[in-house]
Amino acid sequence: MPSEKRDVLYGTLGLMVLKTLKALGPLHGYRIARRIEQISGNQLTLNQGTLYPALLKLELAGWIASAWTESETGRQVKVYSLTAAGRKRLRAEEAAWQHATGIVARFFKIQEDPS
Amino acid sequence: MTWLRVFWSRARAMMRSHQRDQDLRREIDSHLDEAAEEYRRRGLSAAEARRAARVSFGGVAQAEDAYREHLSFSWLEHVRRDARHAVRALRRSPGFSLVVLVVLALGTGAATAVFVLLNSIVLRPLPFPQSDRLVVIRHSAPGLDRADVGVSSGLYFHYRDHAQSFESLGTYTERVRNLRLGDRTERVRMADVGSAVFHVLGVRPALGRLFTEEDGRLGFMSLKWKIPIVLSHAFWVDRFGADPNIIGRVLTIPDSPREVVGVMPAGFAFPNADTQIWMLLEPSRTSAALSNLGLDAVGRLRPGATAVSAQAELTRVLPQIQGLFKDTTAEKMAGVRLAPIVMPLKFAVVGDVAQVLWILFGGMTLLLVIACANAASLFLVRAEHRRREIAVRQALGAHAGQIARLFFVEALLLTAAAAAFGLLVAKGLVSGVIALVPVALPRTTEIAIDWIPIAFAAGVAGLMTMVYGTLSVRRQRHSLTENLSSGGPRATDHVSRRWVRDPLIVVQAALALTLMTGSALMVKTYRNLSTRELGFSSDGLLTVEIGLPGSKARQHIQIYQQLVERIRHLPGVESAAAASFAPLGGSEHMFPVEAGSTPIAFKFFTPGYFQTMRIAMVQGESFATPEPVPPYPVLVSAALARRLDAAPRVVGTSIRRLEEDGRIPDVRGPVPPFTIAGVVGDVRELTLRDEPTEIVYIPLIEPPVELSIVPTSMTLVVRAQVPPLGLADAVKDTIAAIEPTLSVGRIQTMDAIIRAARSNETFVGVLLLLAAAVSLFLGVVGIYGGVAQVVRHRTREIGIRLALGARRTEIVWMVAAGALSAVVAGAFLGLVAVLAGTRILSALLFGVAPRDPASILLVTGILFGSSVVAALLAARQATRVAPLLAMRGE
Repeated sequence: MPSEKRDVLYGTLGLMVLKTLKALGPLHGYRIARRIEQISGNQLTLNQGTLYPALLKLELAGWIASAWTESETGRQVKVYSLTAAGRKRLRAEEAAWQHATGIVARFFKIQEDPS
Repeated sequence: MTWLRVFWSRARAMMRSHQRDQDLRREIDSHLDEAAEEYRRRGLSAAEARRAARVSFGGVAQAEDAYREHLSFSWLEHVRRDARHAVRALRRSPGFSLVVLVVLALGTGAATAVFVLLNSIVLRPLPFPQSDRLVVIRHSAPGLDRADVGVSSGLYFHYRDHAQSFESLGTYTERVRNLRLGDRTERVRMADVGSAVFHVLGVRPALGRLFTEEDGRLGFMSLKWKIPIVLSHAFWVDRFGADPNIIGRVLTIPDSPREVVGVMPAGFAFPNADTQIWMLLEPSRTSAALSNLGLDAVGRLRPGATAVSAQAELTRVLPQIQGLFKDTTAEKMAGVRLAPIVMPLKFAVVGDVAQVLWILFGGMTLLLVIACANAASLFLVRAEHRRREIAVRQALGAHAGQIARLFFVEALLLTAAAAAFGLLVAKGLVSGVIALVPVALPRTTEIAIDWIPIAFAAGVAGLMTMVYGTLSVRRQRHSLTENLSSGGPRATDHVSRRWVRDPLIVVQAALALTLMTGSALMVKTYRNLSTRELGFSSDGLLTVEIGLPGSKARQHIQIYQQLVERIRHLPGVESAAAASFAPLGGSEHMFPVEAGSTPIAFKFFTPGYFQTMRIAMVQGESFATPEPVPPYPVLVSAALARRLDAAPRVVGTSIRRLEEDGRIPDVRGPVPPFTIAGVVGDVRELTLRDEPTEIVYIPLIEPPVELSIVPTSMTLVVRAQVPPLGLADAVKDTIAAIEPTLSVGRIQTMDAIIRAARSNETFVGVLLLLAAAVSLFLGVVGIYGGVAQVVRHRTREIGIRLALGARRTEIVWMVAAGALSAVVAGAFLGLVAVLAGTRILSALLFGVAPRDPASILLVTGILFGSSVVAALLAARQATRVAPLLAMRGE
């Protein structure tokens, strides 16, 4: 069972999804995948199939919600949007992430310091 | 509460997994389409674009699987997998599985069966609203030498008017009367109830109405008024085909018309399960208060009052009755020494069966514990044997949790299956017990296996799963390498192993000894009751209850005589007579006599009764032939003769019956006293346990006794030369031919009556004996297994010892000693338990002390004897060890 512990879901994928949805509003799966790839400057080639279990996990946790609508290309797509709980979670995750990366960054600084 | 939400989503998803699957497929398809379109826009051909889309998506099947993994309860999957493993493992050792299953199923079944009875009869509240507030009022009257009498109408009114503890009070009495239906006469079991009784109980009719206070008042005003009656549901269905127009119908009971005003709902059983008709009988204020203490009183306590507080209040209120009734003089009250007893209605309904069932439940719980201990040692042995398998699993990467789960799931499977079989066993046992044991169980209609016994069996299974799982896991608490290397026979017995095994033997021996002692005491009790000198011979004796309508009471002598005469000449009949009740049948009639304040039992009989019953004549008259006799002659039992007169001849002295209020009976002048014309041998008329009954036998000869005491209920006794029940039809036909208004009640052999008189003891005895036999068997098997295990573990050591020249007897002793000393310790504990505990049985015991040394010695001997045999049989394996083979070991 997932808990409120400091684990970033599926590595960082869950966090990326939440952030993407916050930035761009409701999106369907393919758009989310493409967006993540774009943001990473196409450095992160997402195995797009892994996105769906991650989306499900976020949805089961109540951080995102989904609904079937029509896409701009006229297809039936499932659109995901951030919920209030998801927003809260994102804030918490973001802070934790900044904190963690800050610490790691400081370590790297020490290493580079010629002494 | 994220986990909770996830849980619910998963639960929902499980319900709709098909829809979810379709949803996902649609979503993936649309994803692929979108991706393909983008690739096409970048200039790829349609086919290439589709391919590229699929490549960037990755494995569709993997994604689906991962998706589903999230939706399912993964632990449930694991449990399912473990269960499959466990089933396979259990099927690989069918012997172990079967034995554990049988042992646990029998243990659970026996305990659950008795628990079902205990729960249905003793624990569950009576089926009345707020039944915990219902109480009965009775009295002890040491002055009358009676421990248990009811109330009189006078007392009822006194309590009703002065006691604050009760919301309402009502009186009732049980009666058997004749009912004429068409040309048939039948005996019906009735209760005469005051109008308040139904209100006290808080019940409503299924049809029509119940009695009202108005009914009671009306009776004295109107000549056309008929006493109202209410029918039981079963009686209404049986005799009137559930006729909805029954209300208003008039029935003749026994000679007067009674009007049906209502029908009770099915399942209403008061005061007895078989009560068929309730008739209004309002107690009368004009009656005396200290005589006719034959009414039963039921009351509903006010909220806050308890049986104890109510009893205290009645004790306070009772003396104020002095002077309110004509017989409540200070002198009379001091003579009777009445003391109120208030007890919950449930106690009164359930009676001593509660004690019987608690004892049996205790016994069966002991048996269950033995069965569980036995199964525990089997689990231990099995865990030992699997150390290597477990080590291999560990080496292959299974972690401790997974292995523990494996053991727990195995234990759970076995105990759950055992609980299920146990419930089936219980179901069979319960109906078997009700059908086979001639015990008068109250509330039998309410006996049901509801969720409580099921929860009980499930609880036992759950507990056992924990115990067995933990034991098995503890067995594996060794390092991997140790387990791998020590999977086979070890050089010596491990101390930690004995730590669990020996206590299990101790427990089994102690409990088996306790159960066996209990059953030995009950067997002795049964034997003592069976060989009790009855004072008559029951061989081939048939009893037939008959009832004479009150209108024929004046002709009773002729009718009974004619009847007996005709039956005597039926083929297969040796002799016949009649009396007002059969010995040990549960009836008694009492009246006060002048000789003392103690009421004395009396019994009417027709000439020839003592010859038919083969009761010895001690002195004087037998009334077998019409001889000149003194006026109003009676016979007395030897026990009464001993008490009445120490002088050599009691014959010829007179004895006077008194009315209940102490007056001399008066029928146009005082009724002459009886003259004792003879003494007959002692008979146990009332119970098997009591001393011979002090009783007066009154012959039904001319001149007749006062009409007020003429017996209308009689029991024919027929001594048959053929199987007695075969005569039943001929006797019934004869009765119908001579006097069709006579009703026929129960027809049973005297042997059946005697069996019923010791049914409680038989019931407990048989069940405890069974439990003891099973416990001994399990204990012995446990010891055998324990010793066999020692032999297996110490094969190498035994081999070394044998090679070094140890004698075989030494070896046998060495391996058996552990188990046998555990038996000794167990027996010691058992003895302590017996000395402390068998007093619980003492109310049921007869002719044997609760700590009867002979019984205790006997069962201890049996336990030791069979333990030694079992241990030696198992230990003999040790002497067959071939030294070289053993030392080579593995």
